[in-house]
Amino acid sequence: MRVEGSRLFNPGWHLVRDLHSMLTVAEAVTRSALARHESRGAHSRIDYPGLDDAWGKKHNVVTKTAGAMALTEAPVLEIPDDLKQLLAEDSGAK
Amino acid sequence: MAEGSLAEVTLRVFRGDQEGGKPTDYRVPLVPGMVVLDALHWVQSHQAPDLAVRWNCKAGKCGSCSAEVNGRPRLTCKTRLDALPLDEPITLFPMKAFPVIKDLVTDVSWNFRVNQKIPPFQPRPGVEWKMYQRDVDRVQEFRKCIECFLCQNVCHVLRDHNKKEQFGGPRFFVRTASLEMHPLDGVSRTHLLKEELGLGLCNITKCCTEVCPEDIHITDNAIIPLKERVVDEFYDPLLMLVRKIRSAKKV
Repeated sequence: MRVEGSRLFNPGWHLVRDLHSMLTVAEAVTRSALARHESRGAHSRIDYPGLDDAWGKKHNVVTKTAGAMALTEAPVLEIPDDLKQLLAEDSGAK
Repeated sequence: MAEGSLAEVTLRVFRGDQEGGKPTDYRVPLVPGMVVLDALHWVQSHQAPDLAVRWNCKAGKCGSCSAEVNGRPRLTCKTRLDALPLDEPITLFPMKAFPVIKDLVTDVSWNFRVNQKIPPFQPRPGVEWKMYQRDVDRVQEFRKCIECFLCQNVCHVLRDHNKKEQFGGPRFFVRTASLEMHPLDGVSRTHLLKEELGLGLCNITKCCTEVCPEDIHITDNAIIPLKERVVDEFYDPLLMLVRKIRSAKKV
């Protein structure tokens, strides 16, 4: 990669600095999206159009393991009791 | 963007820094609905990655992308190409009233120094925290300001006479008006307006109102009422006489 111009207010220079991290994040997002066989919110798939309750209970986690990306699943944590109570009160008020 | 698009437009963009510079032409494929900032981004991504443009929201709300399009102070994100003559180059220059950093980016930090001179909102002691809707509406207009500084750029007191030491500029008359007309505020800023912000230098040409992208009636609703306040306090002969008599009694 090469940058033209000076370091003074040079958007191309910033892009070059950011590009490696942007590609890493893009790959992690794509790997997670391919693994998630459902549609949920902004994650929308033509081959899996519906919500899957099983996927509502787990996250995809991408980690750097021995220099490569590894995809694992982690359970969604239970809502703490005090928050549950607040949510119940909130919906009760409406 | 726009593969196979036939129509093209020429942008004539100032390239340079505080040492000087010159305009450079770029051909950009035309896309329906395109604004000047889109065209600049196309130039950045295809022809000149080091082209400096300050921008954030692309929606006319952040006030960052001010420049002079065909000689007129505009937000580049709110200036559609189809509203401009496309058979001739579109000229893009940085705001003239402020020092250039690079290309279309200017150093507007003078504005922030002026802003610090203005005492912030301070409620009158023991004031009842209650306002009438008409008082709220009057101040709300001034709070629409996005600080694009196009009014500062176009004001001849700053642009042509460079009176940055004596004059605050339309933006800061708008801010002062929003505080002075606040129904709960207890600070008087008339002395500041007269002595520090040089309100008297404004001769109401209304250029600031004309360029405001938020359509704030800067001259009619902010500057003129403030001028009236300053006149009432410092130049009204009848009030002068009353004050003289009152102060004489105390001696």
